[in-house]
Amino acid sequence: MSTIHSSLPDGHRTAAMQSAPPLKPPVSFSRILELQTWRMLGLVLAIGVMWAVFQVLTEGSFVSPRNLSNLAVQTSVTALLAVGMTWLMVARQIDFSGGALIALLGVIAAKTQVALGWPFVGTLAVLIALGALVGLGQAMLVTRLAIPAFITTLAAFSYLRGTAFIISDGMTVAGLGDRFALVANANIPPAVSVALFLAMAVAVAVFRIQAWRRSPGPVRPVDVAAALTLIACLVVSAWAFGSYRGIPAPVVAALLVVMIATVVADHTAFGRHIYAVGANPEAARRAGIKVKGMLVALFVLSSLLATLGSLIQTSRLDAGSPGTAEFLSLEAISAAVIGGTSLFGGRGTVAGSALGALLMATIANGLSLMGVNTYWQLVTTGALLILALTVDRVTGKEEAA
Amino acid sequence: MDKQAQVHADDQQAPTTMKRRQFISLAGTLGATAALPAALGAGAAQAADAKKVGFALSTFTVPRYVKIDLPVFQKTAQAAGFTTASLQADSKVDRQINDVQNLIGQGISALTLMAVTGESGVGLVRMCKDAGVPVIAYNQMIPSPDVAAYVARDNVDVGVKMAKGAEAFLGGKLKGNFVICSGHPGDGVAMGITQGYMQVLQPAIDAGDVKIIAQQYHQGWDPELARKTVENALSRTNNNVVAVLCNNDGMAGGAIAALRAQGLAGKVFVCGLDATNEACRAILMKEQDFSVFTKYDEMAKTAADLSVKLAKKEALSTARTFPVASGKSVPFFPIESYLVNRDNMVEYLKRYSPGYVDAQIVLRGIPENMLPPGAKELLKA
Repeated sequence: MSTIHSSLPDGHRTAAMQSAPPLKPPVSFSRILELQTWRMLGLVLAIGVMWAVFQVLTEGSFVSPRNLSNLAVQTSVTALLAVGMTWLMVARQIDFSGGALIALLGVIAAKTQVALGWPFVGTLAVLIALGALVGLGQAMLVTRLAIPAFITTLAAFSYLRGTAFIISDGMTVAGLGDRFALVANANIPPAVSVALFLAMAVAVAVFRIQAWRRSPGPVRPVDVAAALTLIACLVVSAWAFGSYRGIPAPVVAALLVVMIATVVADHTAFGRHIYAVGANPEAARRAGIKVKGMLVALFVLSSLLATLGSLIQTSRLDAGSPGTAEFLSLEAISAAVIGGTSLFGGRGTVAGSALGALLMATIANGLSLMGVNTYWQLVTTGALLILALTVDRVTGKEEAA
Repeated sequence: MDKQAQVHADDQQAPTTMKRRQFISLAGTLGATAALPAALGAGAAQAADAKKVGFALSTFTVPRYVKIDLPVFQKTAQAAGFTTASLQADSKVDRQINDVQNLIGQGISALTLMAVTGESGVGLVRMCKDAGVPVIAYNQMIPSPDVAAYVARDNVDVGVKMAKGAEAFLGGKLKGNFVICSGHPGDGVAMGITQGYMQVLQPAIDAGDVKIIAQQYHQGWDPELARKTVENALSRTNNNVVAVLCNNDGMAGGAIAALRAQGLAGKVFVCGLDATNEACRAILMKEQDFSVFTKYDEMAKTAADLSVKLAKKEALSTARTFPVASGKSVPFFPIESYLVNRDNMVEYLKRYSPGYVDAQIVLRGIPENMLPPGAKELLKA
């Protein structure tokens, strides 16, 4: 079990152990869920406020269907990485290699398409195989040799990037062709997009009302707020995507992944086990959870999501660039942390991380629209991270104990 | 120690002063433990082999350095009867400190230094000065008055050429919304070229004719970040952008991807730097107007020639100087850059393919009516 523990500094481990129930009265699970939901709603509110501010500062360009569509696409790759990252972080792991993997697979995609003239399916198969292999390799180092994920994936951060430079000779390889361009530049037609989002909004409303009718207790404010917010988001999405070009393929991918991951986390044994391992690895192992097998799955998943991200980015750019996505993994970690994922494991939601990614992309996009220097983006993101953690420390004491 | 003192005396410096200064400066940079053995080794090796010149590169990840700069440098120096030693630093400032120490240790009598960043080169130049090795700042300016010569592309001139290209594209009148994609923040090349843009554009900006919608530096010259910059600028202006000036071809590719998504590729002016395979293709497909290419072979040859002269303690002569800190300036050897466009594409490919570019990759799959005269023959060759 040293595997799990060893990826954390001693201080962290101690902190995690102190959170064990005997020291303080336990907080009920439903209370934790409620706090988590409030936190996410706070995040949505923060994003809403920022949109309003940018709307004013950009003289009305920000909240336009076109820019919101762009914003969604600009969020998608980071969000995909953040999903894999969230689960790894919940299980007390980390993955720094996503950005480098995106660069490497992008270069390989471009090389096989441009220089070797492979069929699209061949390139796709190789990318998926390589992505899975990279994840598997990292998982093996972590689970079999007990090398901390921090080091394993930091090494991958380096050798994957280096390989990308070697394969491409340091050059951007462009011109992958129409078939490849379709991957990320396709859209679900606007009319269908509107129908999809409105149907989801109606479904949420119906489901919520039914749940309230069935449950004996009073209606909780948090559930009302959550349902209304979700419906509002769906309606805004219907408007934005419906009035521009429909839902872009990268957004479809990101939304599907976030939705599926949320369902898996909440309603499957696998999902619950991830949180169990994060909360207390030793207890989880004694409870019969196959910790190593689960970690292998998480690392492979993380790399496969990076593979999907690479496909999207390479297709959008029509080029594989060895130096690209340099800080993307750090962005994904930031998104997860802003979204409420704990660096010490056991806590975090995929949806929260996706919102964190949206918040970061909002800042980047808004400042870019304003023509403000990107240096400010770095400063704002840093400030935001500290703010998010401060809010957690102040309001989340009950939960973190 | 006698031997070392001897070498230092040869350099017209008092050995004791030298040693103290060396100690202080090196200890300041990286700690005496690592520095002293190298400094001692320097003296010994230098005496043994005086006919060696060094080349410290910042990285090998940019193909020109491996394919043109280094081999031409080596060939030129060897033709003059010198051996060469070279190291590259993976774009890491700290690694370059070790590289320079190691080269001094190998007894070089002149160093061509492509600093990872200009500022980080200042300490390295001091280190070399203390070891009696003259330094040529290569490709990247090092703001130190102790630099013996500066050999580089005239980046400001490149920026001027690009902006004037935009002017020509716009029918001789600078007017409309511009986007500027600058390279890595803090990079001398990116700053110089951007400065050149502004020289040309500023009067038109002041007159209210030209508006800069966005000017951003892009971490790692990342094409994807440039794509986002252009995408957002297009959103902001509702596609009212007439020109995208890019510091290099990779970012120009990103700009083209953003323009293509709005059906604007080929209608908006785009330029870049380096004349890469991809840029050449984009130029032939009329999505990019031109790229700028610097005669890197001449840059390397010039540096090697100057190294040999410095090693032989000959004087350097040049008409131009480049300003460094505190009102001083250093001899500047600017290397010519020229536009690569449809008209001279074939000629360019003939000279630099294979090696720097690959004519086969450039020309393959380009529709026949888009090929310039003479291209088909190249494709067959």
